[in-house]
This record gives sequence, C-alpha cells and structure tokens, in this order.
Amino acid sequence: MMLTTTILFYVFSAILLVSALLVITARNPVYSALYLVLAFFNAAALFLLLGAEFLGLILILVYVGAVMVLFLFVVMMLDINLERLKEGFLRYLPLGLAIAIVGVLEMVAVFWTAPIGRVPAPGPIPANADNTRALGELLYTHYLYPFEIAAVILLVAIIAAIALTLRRRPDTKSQAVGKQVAVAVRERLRMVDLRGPKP
Amino acid sequence: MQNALFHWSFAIPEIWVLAMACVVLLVDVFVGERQRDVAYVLSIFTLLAAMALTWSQMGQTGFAFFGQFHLDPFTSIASFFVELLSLLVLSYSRKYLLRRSLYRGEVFVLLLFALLGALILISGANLLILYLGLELLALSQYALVAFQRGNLRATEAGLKYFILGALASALLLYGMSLLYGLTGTLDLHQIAIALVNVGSANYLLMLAVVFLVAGIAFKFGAAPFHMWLPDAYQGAPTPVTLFMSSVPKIAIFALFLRILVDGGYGSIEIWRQLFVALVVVSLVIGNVVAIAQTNLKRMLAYSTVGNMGFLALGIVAGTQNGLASAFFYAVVYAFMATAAFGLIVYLSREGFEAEEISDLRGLVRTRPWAAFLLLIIMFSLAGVPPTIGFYAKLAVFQALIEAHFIWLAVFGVLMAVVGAFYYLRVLKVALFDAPAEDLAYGADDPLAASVLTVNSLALLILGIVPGALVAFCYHALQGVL
Amino acid sequence: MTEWLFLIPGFPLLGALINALFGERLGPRWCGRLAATMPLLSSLVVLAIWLGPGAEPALLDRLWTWMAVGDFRVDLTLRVDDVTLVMISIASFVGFLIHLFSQQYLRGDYGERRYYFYLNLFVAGMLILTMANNLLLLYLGWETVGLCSYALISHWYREPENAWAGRKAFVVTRIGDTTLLLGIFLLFAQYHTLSISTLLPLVTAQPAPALLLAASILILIGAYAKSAQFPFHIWLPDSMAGPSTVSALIHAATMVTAGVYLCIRLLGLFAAVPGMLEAIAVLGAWTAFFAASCGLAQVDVKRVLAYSTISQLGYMFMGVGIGAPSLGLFHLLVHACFKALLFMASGAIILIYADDHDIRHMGGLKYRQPFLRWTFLAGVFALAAVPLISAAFYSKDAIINASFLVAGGGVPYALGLSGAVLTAGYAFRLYFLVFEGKPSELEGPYQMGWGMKIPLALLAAASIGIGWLQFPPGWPGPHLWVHWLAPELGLPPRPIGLEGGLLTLVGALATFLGIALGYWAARRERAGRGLSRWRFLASGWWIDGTILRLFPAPFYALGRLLRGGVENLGVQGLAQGGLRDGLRLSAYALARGENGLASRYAVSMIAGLLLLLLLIWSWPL
Repeated sequence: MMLTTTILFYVFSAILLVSALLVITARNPVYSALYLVLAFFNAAALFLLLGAEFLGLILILVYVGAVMVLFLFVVMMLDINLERLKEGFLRYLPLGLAIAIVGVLEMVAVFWTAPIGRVPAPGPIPANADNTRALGELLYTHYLYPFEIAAVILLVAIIAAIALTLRRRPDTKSQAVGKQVAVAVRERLRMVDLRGPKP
Repeated sequence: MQNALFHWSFAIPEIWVLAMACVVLLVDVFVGERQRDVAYVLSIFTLLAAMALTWSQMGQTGFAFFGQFHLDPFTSIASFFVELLSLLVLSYSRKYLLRRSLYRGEVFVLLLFALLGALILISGANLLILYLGLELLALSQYALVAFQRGNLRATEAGLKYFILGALASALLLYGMSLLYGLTGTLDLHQIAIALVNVGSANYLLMLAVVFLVAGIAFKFGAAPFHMWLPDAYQGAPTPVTLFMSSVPKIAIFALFLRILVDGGYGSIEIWRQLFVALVVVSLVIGNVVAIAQTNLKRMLAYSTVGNMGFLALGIVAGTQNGLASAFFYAVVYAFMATAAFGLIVYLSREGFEAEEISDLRGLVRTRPWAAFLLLIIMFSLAGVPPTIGFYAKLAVFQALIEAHFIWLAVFGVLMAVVGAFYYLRVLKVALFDAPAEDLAYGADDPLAASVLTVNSLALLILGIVPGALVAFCYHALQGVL
Repeated sequence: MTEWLFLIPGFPLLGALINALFGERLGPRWCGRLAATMPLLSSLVVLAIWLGPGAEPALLDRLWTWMAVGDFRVDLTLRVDDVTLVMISIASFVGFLIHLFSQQYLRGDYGERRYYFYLNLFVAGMLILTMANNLLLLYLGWETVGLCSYALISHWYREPENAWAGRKAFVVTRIGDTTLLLGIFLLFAQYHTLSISTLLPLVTAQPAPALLLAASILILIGAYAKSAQFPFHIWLPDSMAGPSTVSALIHAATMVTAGVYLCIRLLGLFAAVPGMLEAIAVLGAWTAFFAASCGLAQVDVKRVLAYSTISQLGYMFMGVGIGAPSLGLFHLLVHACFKALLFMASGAIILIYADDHDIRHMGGLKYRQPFLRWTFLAGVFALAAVPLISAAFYSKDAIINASFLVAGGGVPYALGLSGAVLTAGYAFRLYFLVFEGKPSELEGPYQMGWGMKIPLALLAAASIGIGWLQFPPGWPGPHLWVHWLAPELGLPPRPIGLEGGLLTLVGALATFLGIALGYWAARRERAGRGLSRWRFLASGWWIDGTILRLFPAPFYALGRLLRGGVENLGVQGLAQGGLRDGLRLSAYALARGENGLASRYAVSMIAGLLLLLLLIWSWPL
C-alpha cells in the first residue's frame, strides 16, 4: 500500500514537472494551455494522494473546467502573433533570470531556516475523515457571514461586468427566446405560393 | 449547532437590503422600459424600510455571526445615517438618470449593494469582514462611476478609480496581514487584547499601521492619496458623485474606527503621528488646489480632501471627545456634500451638467431660491455661523485644543480661512455676476427640489439647534474607548 | 406659562421672516398689517403673564443648548422677572402702537416692506436682549438692535445725509458693542460662565477687583454708547434723519433704553466695584443737565426731542447710580410713553408743515389741530414734570429728590435740579413756538386717521396717568411700584416728612421756573433773537464738532499711514504679491501635477506611503 502510493507520487510528480516545463517551452500557446491542463490534473492527483479530495476536485473543476477553458477560448479567438511574442524574449531574459535567482535564493533561505523535522508529523487520518464535509461545516457555520458577503461580491461583479459590456445593437441577430416559446401553432408553418404569377 | 451564536436578527437591516437588492434586480428584468419607476419606487421603499429596521434596533447591543458582527450604538446610528443619505441620493437623481438613459435597474441595484457594503463595514468586528465589506462598497462604486459607457471621461475615471483602488486595497490588505501575523487573530477585540502585550514600540506593528493608515487615507481621499478623487468626482455621473461624497465617508470612518480604535487603539501613538502628517498635507492640498479649479465638481472634490483633513483633526485628538467630533464632522460633511452635489444634479438638464462654476453666473436672478440654498450650502462648507458646518469645525477644534494640539488647531483655522475663499468665490459668481443669456437650468424636478430645500435648510436650522444631532452623534461613540 | 415665553420675541421674528420671504407677494399694505399684528400678539402674551402667574419668582424658559464646547456653554434661556416684564411690556406694547401709527404715516413711502421688516426685527432684537439670561444671547439682541437702528435711520437712503447719519449711529454704537463684547470676554475668562443668573452671585462671592473694574468700565461704555450718554451721545441728534416713527421706536420702546436696562440687569457687577455707582450717578446727572441746555437752543423739532432723550436717559442712569434703580426703571417707563407720543406727534407736525422741521417757521397749530395740540401738550407736561398732573413728576422728581439723601449726592442733585429747570424750559419753548401764537402760513391741511389718533390718545393718557402708580413717599395714594420691585432692586432712598415736602416743593418750583424760561425763550425766538443764535448751545457745546475733529482726523492719518506703509508695501507687496500669487501659483502647479495619468497617481501614492514610513522611522520610540 505504502509502496503503491510512493510510486504513484513519483509518477504524478514527474508528469507534473515535465508538463510544467512544456508549458513554457511549447511554441504554440494552445499546446501550452493544454500542457497546463495536464499539470493541473497531476497536481489534483497529488492532492488526492494526500487525502485532500476536496482541494483536488476543486482544482479540476475551477482551474481545468473554467479558467483554462476560458483561457483556451481567448487564445484561439484572438489572433496572437507568435513571432512578435518571441521578439522580447532575449530582451527580458536578464530580468527574468534575476527574478528567478532571487526566487531560488529566497526558497533556499526559507528551507535553511525552516523548522523542517522539528514540526511533528501529522497524526494518522481517521478512516472516515471527510474534508469536504469538514470544510462545508465550517464554511456554513463559522464563516457563513464572510462566505455570503463573498458571494454578494461575485454577484456584483457579474452585474457590473454585464452592465458595463452588454450592448444591444439593433442590427445584431439574436434569439428571442420569449418569442420562440410563445409561438402559436399557426405561426410555425407558413405556406408560400412559389408558382409565381400565371403567364 | 451553536445557533445562539448566529444572532442573525441583529443583521436584519443588512439582510433586508440584500434581499431587496435581489428583488429589484429580478423585478427590473420583468418590467418593461416604461415601468422603470417600479424599480425606483421599490428601491426607495427598501431604503425607508431599512431605516425603520435600523431605528428599531437602536439601543440593542451584542455580537452576531461568531463575533464577526458587532451591534452597538455606533452601528445603529451610522447605519441609519448611510441609509438616509442613500435615500437622499436616490431622491435627488431621478430626473438626471432619466435624461441620460441611466434610469436602469442596475443603477439602483448597484447603489443598494454599495449601501450593503457600507453597512457591513459599519458593523464589522473582524478584519476579514471589513475587507469584504470594503471591496463590496468599492466594486459597486467602480461600476457606477463607469456606468455611462459611451462617456469617455466616465470610463477613464472608472478605470483609474479601479486601478488605484485596487492598489489601496492591496496596501490595506497587507497591513491587515501584518496585524494578523503579529496577533494571530482576525477578531478585532482579540487583536486589541493581544496588542496590550505587543506595545507600540514594535517595528512590525508600525509597518502594519502605516499600511493600514495609507489604505484608509486613500479611501477617505486624504492627501497624498487623493489623486483619484478629482478625476472620479468629475468623470462620474453627478448622482454617483453625490453618493461617493457622502455614504463612503461615514463608512470609511467606521472602517477606521473598527480597525484602529476597536482593534488597534494600543497603537494610537503611531497612527496619531501619521494622521498629523495626513492632516497637514490634506489641508494644504485640498484648500490650495481648490482655488485653481474652474469645475465645480472638481472644486468640491478638493474641498473633500480639505474636509477630510478637518475630520482627521478629530482623529488626531484621539480622545473620546475627538473621535466623537470626527464622527460628527463626517456626518455633517456627508450632508453638506449631498446638498452641494444635489444642487448640481437639480440644475442640470440634458446636455448641460451645470458643473462649471461659470454655469452658476447670476443664479440669483434666474433661480433665486436655488441661489439662496447655494448660499446656505457654501456658508456651511466654509464654516460660517450659524450653519452646522461652523459647529462641526468648532467641535473638532475644541477637541484638538483639549488634547493640546494647539499649533495644529491654529494651522487648521488658517487653512479654513483659505478654504473660505473658494467657497465664497462660487457665491460671488452666483450672486453678483450678470447672468448669461444662454444658460437654461433644468430645475424642474419637484421631488429633487423639495428634498434639496429640506436638506439645505437643515444645514441652517441644525446650526441654530444643533443639540439633538450632536447628542445623537456623540452617543454613537459612547463607550468606544 | 414658561414654555410660551419664546413666543414673545418669536412673533416679531416670525413677522420679519415672513416679510423677508414672502413680502413681495403680500404687497406693502399687508406687510404693514402683518408687521403690526406681531408685536400685538407679543404684548398679548406679556399681558397673559401680568394677568397670570406674574414674574415672581422669575420665569425661566430654557429653549435649547445652542452650543456646548468644553466649558463654553451657551444655553438659550429666556428669563422674565419683574424688571424684564416692565421692559418687554414697553417694547411690545409701545412697539405695537408705533407699528399702528406707521400704517398711515408711512403709506406710499418707498421701501415699506423693508421698513416693516426692520421694524419687526428691531422689536424682536430688543425683546431678545431684555429676556436673555445669557450674555451672549443678550449680545445677539444688542447687535440686532444696532443693525436695525442703522438700517432704519438711513431708511430714506436716497439722500446721502440720511445714509451718513445711519453710518454715524452705527459706528459710534459699534465702539460700545466692541467694548461690551470685550467686557463679556473678561467676565467669561474669570468666571467661566455667560449665564447672568449664575454670574452675578459669583461676582459677589469671588471678587476680582482689577478685572471687575476693567469689565464694568468696558460694559458701561457699551451701555453709554447705546444709550447715547455723554460723550457718546453724538449719534443721537443726527439719527433724526430717519422717519419719526423710527425715532419714536429708537427713543422710546427699544434701542436707547437698552443701556439703562443693561446697567440695572448687571447692577450686582457695578455694585461690586467701589465708586462705580457714584461715577454713574454724576455722569448721568451731568448728561441730563448738559443735554437739557442744548435742547434749549435747537430749532429742529426733532433735535429738541433728541437732546431731551439724552437728558432723560441721564436721569435714568442717575437713578441707577444713586441706588434707586426702581425709580430709574419707573422713569424709563414714563419716558417711553411720553417720548413715543412726542415723536409720533412731531412726525405729524412735520407732515403738516410739508417736511419743514424748523420750529421758527411754525406757530398757532392749536387752531387747526386741536387733537394734536392736546395730546402733544400732555407729552410736554410729562417732559417738563408739571406737578401732580404729569407722570414724570412722580418719576423724575423722585430721582432728583432721592439723590439729595445719598452721601455725595450734592453734585447730582444740583445738576439734576438745574437740568429740570432747563427741561421744562425747552419743553415749553417747543410747545409755545409750535402751537401758540399766530398760525403760520406754511401750514398745510392734514387729517389724521384713527390709526394715528388711537396711539396718540393712549400714550397721552399714559403720560398723564401712569405716574399715579407711585406717589411720593408719605403722600396718600398708591405706592405700588417701588414696593413691587423691592425684592429685586431694593428700596430707594425716600425723603419723608418736612424734608420730603420741601424737596418736592423745590422740584415743583423748578418746573414753573422752567415754564417761565420757556415762555421767555419762545418770545425771543419769535423776535429773531433766540437762544438758537448762541452757537455754543446750538451746536451742543461744540462737542460733536470737537469729537469729529479729534478722533476721525488722527484715524484717517493712521489710515493713510497704514495704506502707505503696511497696505501698499506689506499687504500689496508681500501678502498679496507673495501670498496670493504664491497660493495661486502653487495651486496651479499642484493642479498641473495631477495630470490625469493613472501611473503618476500610483507613484504619488507609493511616495506618500514611503513618506509615512519615513515619518514613523524617524519618530523616536
């Protein structure tokens, strides 16, 4: 059992790292996005291995299901000039490298001083542990108030986005759902005389 | 379940506003273009009922939602004022919105949501709640500013406001996170207890307070964090400016009160020092730059900056009396700003915003009553007795002198004199210049006219009989310290 | 009752407000009627106090706390005690009669609405002044009265002299207003209260001699300027530029009595300063004598009366000074009646003579205007204090007689008695010149309506009969007044027995001597050799001219100096050039800095944040 878990961990981790690398190096942004989806899947699998099934599922639902799909849409609908994107690569390389080095140094510093090993390992997880349920209970009791406010903020964001961007142009063709539903039988079929006038 | 800890009945006004905002949103979808009044009347009714609900809670105290919601006299009184101000905003702006095809359900809904954000801020007892309330208020306002999509200036103002507001939120959030790191809790009352051990000579606490004060100063519009204010005030449709200049001022005072007094009173020696700097810069910039403005809305924006400086004088005093005077100032300022922008709304018509100072030329000849009200409003803003504006300044200065900030008080008075100049210039234009022949004011909305009359005369009458309002506002701050 | 006190000043205030806001729609006739109703309503409320609970103990009506900032607390409290009751009765009822008289008198004038607005406000200001239990509220009324007097004296502003007279009155009384305010400041600095009822016990309990001396002198100057006492009297003769009804209001019901009232109200303060009351007595007697002598030489009917007011006010101050404030107040009441009568009657006389004020051009009016003659004669009797049948005999002579009894009263008595001779002299000189002799050909036809006759008749009756409230001590008859006021003002010195009889006889003789003097002066005047040719007296002992030469000239010189040195160089050059341009330039520079670039805004925000960080960093822990 332990062994299987370990093997699975390394498999998922390897795929995760490779696909993450490919996200950066892929020439086509569509490929990049798809590799990112793959990376997310593997990360979700790692969460599941840790017993955090809620986080794993949310990662797939939100990031794969919503964010990445949106991202793909945008990438495919916009005409992105790949050559122009590449042009700046060398120019910004030193800056990027500097940031990367700083990041690495920071991580080293954290690990150097972090109390790894001093923190006691988490105890065994009870068999019927259900973190979806636990989160839900907490979220709908103790954090109900902020949770609701956050929901309202999202609602406002939706309203604002629609109100600010939706424009009804009279010349666009669109479905009139109300009219479709309310249509009468007689209006569904219209007999047209195609014979034309008699000569 | 710990049902007892919910005490959701404390939050009935908030729940009512939320529910009714959703109802207005839905109703507006189903009623046609012709029956927009339904949504309008429904919103007005919502606000009236909210005021009644808040009033009925007056005197109750306690916590709800596991200590995240604090009902105390301040909550009830400040909530009442923001609901009243929102009502004023709505009643001023019907004709204005109608004329610019802004008379849409979304505007009312966003207004209600902004009010909800303000209410949440006022009653928040937890850093998380305060942040969420602030974002709700801000987000609704961003959308409202940019609501006139076809108007380039409005969209530009909305975008600027949004970007800078996000920056300010980040500062505030950073300060909150530092405070959380320092004390290990989000609950303001536990923070207050934890800070007793920390003491004010702690660099982390200083850093936290600096970021918090910077964020609050931005939302107040205190210099040097005021840059967004004139652009947003000028670019936004005037009813939105009306809203922005009134309701958030009280809500942000609540934000300050909750974080830095309820939670962080242990760090008063730090934030007081910061507010001294903000006061000086705000008073100078607000009062001096206003002189150069030709646009009335922009001028009033700088006047806001200056007035926030005066408000912060009470905060600097930091005593019970000082905080009460600052709250009183916030309330009085909100009503003065409402009247001032309400007058602009009232005078405007299609294609004419009445927002340049020169648009008021010879107002006394064409609209004598409006000119009289303008006189009261400007006198009150300048702090001329017997208007309530005088009394508000007097209260702040008195608290300041009581706390031995004599020189700051002298400086404040000098700046009030500079400020009087540009208010009086508006009066000079309106009362003594010859009216231009091509000016025709809207001024045909009986509702706005009557509300404006009541609002402006209240500034005068409350200045003569300020006792009740003062007692009301000072009662709100009873037991805060 | 107490909760209705605010109605007393409230009605005229409301009238003024309605006139200001809606007067145009009402039209001048209704403006006048409305304005006249308001003091009537006030006087009805006052009447209700008289008939109802009375003012013993004092009625207090705390309206609201106007402002409470630290220990500076201003309660708008109205207080009515017996003294106040007398004052508000005069102000409201005599005020009403003057309003009534104005209806016909001012018809068709320009600015009727303005006139009635200020008239109402005037009465309201006086009522606030008298009813205030707080020095700041009193000062509010004081200023209102000053403003209204200015506006009403220059009512016919189209002639520059009238506007000038109004300005003169305003400037002179302003000096007093300022010193009064300074006095109030001093008192507040010492005692931390502005409430009169709290202040006066404090003054006696914790005397601070130097400060009290300064405060009482400052307040006294205020009272002198308002009540036109020597040497601040110079505005009063010129204030005759206003309509006669305004003069009546100023001299009888409202403005000039305010100073006397203030002295009575703050008697505790003046009594706490040694020598103060004696000084008041001597100065009052001197003013009474001096102004009476000037009155003998005037040829303008209203100027005679103006000097007479100054003189009569002097008697009132003398009464306060010799420790007989109740007699001073009594004379104030009597004077209000007969002076209102005389001024309104003189207004009618002037109309009859087509706006000619010169009494040398008049004569024999008794044939065509018998009603006017008899009422005027009643006023003249009262002014001259004709024994037994005039009210002033019971008030003014009582003051003079009482002064004989007090220590150091010799000077006031001598001045007062000689003043009484002169008073009777100018009063009867005026009467003989106007009403007796041959009818003047300048006389025009004039018919007084009931609106004018009723006030004159009522006031004439009062001028004769009101003195019977208080007979001389030892005489049979009512002695209501002094005893009624005794709880508040104490009992005045009362000459009785042989001494009293002798003093009364001397006073009566003085009056008859004065009448003879008046007859003689009138005859000489007719012959063209009158006292009016004596420049010294006619110009009021040259005091007006001297003051105008002494004070304004150095003031103008100082002004020129300031204009050259401070204004042109300092203010114009530095403040205006520097400060204004500096403000403007910095305003534009700062405004340009905010150029609308969001990134620049963000940078400035970060800079602000750094500034705050720097501040907290540099701040010593």
